[in-house]
Amino acid sequence: MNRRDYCAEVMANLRRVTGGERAAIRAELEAHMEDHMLALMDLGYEEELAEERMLQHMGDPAEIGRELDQQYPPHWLVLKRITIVLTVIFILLTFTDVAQILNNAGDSFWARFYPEKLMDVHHLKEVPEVVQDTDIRVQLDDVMVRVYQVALEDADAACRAYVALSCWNRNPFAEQPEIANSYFWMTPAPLWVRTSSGRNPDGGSGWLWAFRYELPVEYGDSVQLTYDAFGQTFDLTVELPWEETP
Amino acid sequence: MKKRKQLPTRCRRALRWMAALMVLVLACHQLGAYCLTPERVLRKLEQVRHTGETEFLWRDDAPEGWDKGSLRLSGGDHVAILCLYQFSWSGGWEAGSTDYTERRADQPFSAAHYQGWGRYDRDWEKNVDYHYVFGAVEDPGVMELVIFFDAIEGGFDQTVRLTEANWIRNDSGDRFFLCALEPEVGNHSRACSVVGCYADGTMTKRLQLMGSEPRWE
Repeated sequence: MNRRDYCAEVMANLRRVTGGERAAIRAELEAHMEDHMLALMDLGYEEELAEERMLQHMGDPAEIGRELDQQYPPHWLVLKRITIVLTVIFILLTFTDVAQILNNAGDSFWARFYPEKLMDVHHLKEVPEVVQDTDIRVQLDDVMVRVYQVALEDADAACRAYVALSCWNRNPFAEQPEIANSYFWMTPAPLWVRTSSGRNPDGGSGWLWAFRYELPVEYGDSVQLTYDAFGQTFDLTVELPWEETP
Repeated sequence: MKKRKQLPTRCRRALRWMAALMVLVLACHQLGAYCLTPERVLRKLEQVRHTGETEFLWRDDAPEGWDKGSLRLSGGDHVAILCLYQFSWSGGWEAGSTDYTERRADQPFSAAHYQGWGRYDRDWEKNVDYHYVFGAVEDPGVMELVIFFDAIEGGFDQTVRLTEANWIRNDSGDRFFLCALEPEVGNHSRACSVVGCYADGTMTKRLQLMGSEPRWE
């Protein structure tokens, strides 16, 4: 019997192992036998004698095979396979929700760092004459509300003004609060937007966490943002970029 | 002699997969994608309206004919929330129909009307609807609340008085309430209002609950 026959005899007695386990056992067995042979050859044995002595020392291959087989109880394999199936099922069940949460996190990132600029909004009724970047912030616990841009269609006369608002939760994976966009979403709206001359927005665009309000304004008007809901309040006056004298 | 990696046993492999599944489930719970507890669902509801933290005060099984779940009242410093919480193996705990009422210290009480799914009764051949009124009492002088359910079209009128025995108190001693009205059969139109009563017999303004938003009269 040579090493190859010995291995084949051992493998023939492995009944409970998978294909991968069988290959791993074969590689381990061959490596073990090779190490043993090399050790004997280092002591001065010839290769054939070293192989013969090694195989004698290894013992009965059928017995080795049966003992190895005992090391692979079926219940762990069954448990592993059931766990893999459950994992795949769970991933399929939660894929849409996880994708939505990651999408929310992405939208939160954009609202925080790169909210859409007014000049990039293609459906504005008129191109604003003056656009001014601002950075007016108010913190409501974990939520930041920011006025990031204002604009006027005509800087020295009654016209339409634009106020761009964004908000985000400090935790990007948290449910994004319905604060910035109160024009279409909530009744009653916790965020009141009006001009100093008492006019309300008559349009707007955006999404839940970044919204651009459109308001009719008189010369010199400012925009008041008032939020009062569930114990959180703020009152912001946003100055518009009017020219000094009309 | 070359170094060989220890062969991972089946036990270790199975435990690794189980650990990976557990980490995945916990991560989804933390993200809110698959809530393992109703409390996690409540945290999501709080975040959406930015209400601040609340705690569960009352629970009951969903009424007959509704999808299985538990109806739970939660309350905090600034809000009372009534929501139907439902569990499924495919989605975990999820929020069904939800209503909020904001607590305001400048009002004698806060209240909201909640109506979940109705059911069709084959014997009566009519819809059966379940109505709830919930909220919080702010004014310590208000001893009693009277709930008026006016069945404008079909159904029947109901008047319910809530007293000290009906309050649901949290750890801070705040008074919350939840009133489950009698099931209405064949009711198509309704009005619902609440009035508070002081010890000397005087009454608060009436809070109309139906319509786009509650309004004081």
